[in-house]
Amino acid sequence: MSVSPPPSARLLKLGVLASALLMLAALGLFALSLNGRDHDDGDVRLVVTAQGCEPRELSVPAGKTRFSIVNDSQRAIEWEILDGVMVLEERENIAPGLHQPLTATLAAGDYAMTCGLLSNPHGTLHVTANDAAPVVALSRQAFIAPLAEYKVYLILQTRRLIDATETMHQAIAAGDLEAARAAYREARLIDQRLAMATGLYRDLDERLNARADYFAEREQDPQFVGFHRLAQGLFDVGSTDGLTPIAAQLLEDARTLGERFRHQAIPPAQLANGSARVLKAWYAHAIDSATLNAHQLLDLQGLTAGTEKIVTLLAPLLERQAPDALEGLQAQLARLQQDLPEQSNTASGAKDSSDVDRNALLADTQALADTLDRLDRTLALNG
Amino acid sequence: MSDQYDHTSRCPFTLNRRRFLQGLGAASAAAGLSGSAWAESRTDANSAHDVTGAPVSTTTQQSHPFHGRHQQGILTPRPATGMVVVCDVLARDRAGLERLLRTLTERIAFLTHGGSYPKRDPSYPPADSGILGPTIAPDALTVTVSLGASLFDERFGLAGAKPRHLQRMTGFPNDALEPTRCHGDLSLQICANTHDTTIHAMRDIIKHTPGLLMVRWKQEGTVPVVPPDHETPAPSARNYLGFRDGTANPNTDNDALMNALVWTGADPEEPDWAHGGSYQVVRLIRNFVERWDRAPLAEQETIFGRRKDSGAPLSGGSEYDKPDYANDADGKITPLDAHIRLANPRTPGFEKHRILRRPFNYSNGVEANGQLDMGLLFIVYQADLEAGFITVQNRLNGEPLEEYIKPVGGGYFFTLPGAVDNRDFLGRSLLEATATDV
Amino acid sequence: MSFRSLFFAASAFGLIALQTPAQADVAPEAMVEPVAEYKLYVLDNLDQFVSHTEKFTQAIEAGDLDRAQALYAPTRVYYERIEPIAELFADLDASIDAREDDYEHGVEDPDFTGFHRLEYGLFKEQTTQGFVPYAKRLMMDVNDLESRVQGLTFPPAKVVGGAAALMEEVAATKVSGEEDRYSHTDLWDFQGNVDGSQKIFELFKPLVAEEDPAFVKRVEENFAAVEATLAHYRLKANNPDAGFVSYEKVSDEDRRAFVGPVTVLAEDLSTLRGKLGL
Repeated sequence: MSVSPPPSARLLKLGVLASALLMLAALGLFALSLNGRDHDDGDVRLVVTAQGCEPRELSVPAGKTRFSIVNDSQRAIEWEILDGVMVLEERENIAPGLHQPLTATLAAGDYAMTCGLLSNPHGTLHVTANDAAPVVALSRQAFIAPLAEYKVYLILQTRRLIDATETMHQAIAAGDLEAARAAYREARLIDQRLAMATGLYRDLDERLNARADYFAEREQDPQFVGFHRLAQGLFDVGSTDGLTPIAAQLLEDARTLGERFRHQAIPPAQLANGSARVLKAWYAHAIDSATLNAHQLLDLQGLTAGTEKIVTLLAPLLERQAPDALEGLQAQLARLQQDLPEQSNTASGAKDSSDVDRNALLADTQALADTLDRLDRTLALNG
Repeated sequence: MSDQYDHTSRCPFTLNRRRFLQGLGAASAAAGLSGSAWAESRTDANSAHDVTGAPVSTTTQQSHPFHGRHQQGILTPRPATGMVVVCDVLARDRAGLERLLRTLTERIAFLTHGGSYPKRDPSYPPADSGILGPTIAPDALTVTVSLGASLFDERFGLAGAKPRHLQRMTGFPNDALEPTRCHGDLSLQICANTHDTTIHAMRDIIKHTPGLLMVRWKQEGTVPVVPPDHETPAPSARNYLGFRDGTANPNTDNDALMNALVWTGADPEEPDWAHGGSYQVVRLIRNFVERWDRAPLAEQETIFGRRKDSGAPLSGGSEYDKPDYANDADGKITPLDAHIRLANPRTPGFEKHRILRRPFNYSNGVEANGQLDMGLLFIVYQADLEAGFITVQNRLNGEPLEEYIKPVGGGYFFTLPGAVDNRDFLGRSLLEATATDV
Repeated sequence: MSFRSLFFAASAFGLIALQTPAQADVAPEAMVEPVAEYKLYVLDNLDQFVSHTEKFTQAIEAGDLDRAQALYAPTRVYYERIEPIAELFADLDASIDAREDDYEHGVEDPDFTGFHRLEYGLFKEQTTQGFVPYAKRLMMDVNDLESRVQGLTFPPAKVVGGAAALMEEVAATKVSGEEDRYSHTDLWDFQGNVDGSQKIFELFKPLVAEEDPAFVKRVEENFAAVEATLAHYRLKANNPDAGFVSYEKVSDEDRRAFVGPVTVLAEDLSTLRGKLGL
């Protein structure tokens, strides 16, 4: 048993110093990674903290801009570019401490941007006029028919949404949990069909579809209402207690949504872009969970149905300009529809489906979203 | 002091002013002048002549030969007026039928050549209606005789000799056929430079065939004229929709083409007697002109596939340039359902479906709703009825033009081969082919 | 539509100022809402058409002649209102609404089906006997029409052109009383066509009012003239939905009174597409 002589105190001190330096270096590297300087040159960087956006005001030229959103807060955030209540672009579910890129093509003007918690004040995005920006030459007349048909679809679906919400409201008021759950699923499915269009209206989307995470006090936050609040009560807690005013609010918001759909315009670029956006938002949340629960599957069913309608409307335009793109789009949509399980509206509430191929669904959704994202360029260049 | 002297002129000759002016008037009429400055100085007795004097034409002596392997009125250049008179044959037997055909031959030979006719004792009805005067001018008259499927029934023993494709016309999806304007045993296509020549010919033929022929229905028509200095080739005459009609007709100077497309004979399943004849399609197609005149010009041109003013195809060029479909597979320039593209898509092999069109425009009366009854007297010739009109019309079914047109009458007929000389008569080969030893 | 969202939509379309069409100053995006509203109007009328046809055909199948006769004209109104869209499906338009003139063998033609075939039986032959198959066929066709229209993206030019097309219908077949020659219920159809034409005009009127107020005024006056003449023949003076007297009661003077405004409406409304750049 030999005992090695203790290292000299000086060596020890050097070692401690060295490891401290290494740690600092590591921390420094980590901090650098947060800074975003190792991203592509030309990315416009925006940091979101618990208090809001840094900087509060950004300025970019018109045309294509790649943003890098850094989440420097403690909870998952989403980031959106808004025109009034209209959402132009969004990136959902940016995990705390990480960053996400977002590429947007913007026309000159002043926009708002969200800054983390829904209660945080919005930042301002100035987009300055730029001669080098590419001209978006869509065929204006060609879009009248598909946009009108989409408007009719939105109005008819909203009528059904209102009916289902009314049924749910009555069931909740009567304390009938099973009936409320069934009506909830019906309403949620329709709501997801409309997700792209609803998502254009910040205020309504917040009240109908916002998740607990985005509120300062999460599930306890008084601003947390809508479908997720009802789901929490009906399925997690398993009771209709306290939900009557939430259902009443949902009904009123559904009616407001119908009025907006009736009288407000959907920008044609949003048909493809917006569909991609909502599919990506679903993906961003789904990728975090190990299995897909019944709610996520129901949502995807609704989103897929909504996307199918859009694809049908765009088909005549694509057929003339880019038949290959259309074929690919339809094939991807078909694959997603195939991999989705049959919609089941049983009374047993949230049901984990083990026979669902989670990876396939995630891959299908991402592929479809990517194709939709590229579509605007196809239509714009050739239309 | 006589009023006959013109004191003011100090002219040595005495000249009755009235007679002088009369002479001038006569001279100017003889010279073919109308509306001359002299007219203003005529006296009352002469101005009546002015109003009802017959208009003058320089083409009344035009004449088309009657005899030939083929009948006239098919490849003959189409004149300004024409009519189709469809009759039922009243003859009771083959002898009567032969008499009818010989009589038709005689009358047509005479009328198309012109000449005078025997004068009878005035106690008899006159031999001629007299509407063209004592001497008939040919005026480019042609009369073409064709037989309907109904003649090939049991009456005259012709059933075994019916041309292969001859049939009773059946309605197409857009048709609203009126029974009183459809079908018949025998059709007469009568064309001439002026309307009254055709009327004269029709009345002459009816007068000479009592008991043998009865008129079932008829339709008269015209086409607009162009000045002698028109562009070359001559522009196609316009229809009542304002579009040039007949642009893409096959070239009638090309004998081989005509033998293939117009004259029956190449098909071994057609009876021998029919060689040199042709299938004739008559269609009365009403045009909803008020509605058409309210359609945007761009829509009219898209429906047809041609520019209205020039007649050029939408793909460019001038009226007689072929439309370019090869570079337009999706129909972005000339829509796939444009009239001319449906009628002839110019795909390889379609040449055998080309037809020879020789139409007129008709204008009848007024409907109960105050709208005008006018349209196209559509006449088509082809060697094969199925490959010709029937194929083309089936391709046109459902075309956008149908909003503005409605076929209301017509029929399918077989145009007899020509009478080659004085001893021949129209229909001789048919009678000989069906003769039985009695 | 808020100015903001309209401007936004317009800028998303790209070149609001640079690509103005030669004839019209009307922005294409302004036509989305009227076209959508028109489809909703058509779907609503089709819904009514289906339920009224159910009652009509049930009456025939039950052998109830009086009821079938009473339901004939009120059922047709919903079809006549939306005819420009129904006509896009030529096969169904023929099997639902063709008249005997369209068939070589007239009334006896086996392809002659639909309302007018039933009209002949109910009003000329005064029977429901033997007409059950035709009633069933009509119901099938009407259901088919509804589902086809639901799936149809409406072509904007056809929607706008529908205002003129309906007046052409009136000019061609309603003014002379040849549409319903056995039941003489032409005035019901007439009103239906006028309703449909007015609806389209109302939806697109705001887009042309500024540019051509004289046009709008003239069209409104002529519609009013036609409505006033039609109103003479109402069964109940103040209720257009209660129906009309027999067409045989329309005086010659009134027939002529219709022709003028109807023809001017056809002429004026035929310019609507041009004004909207369609």
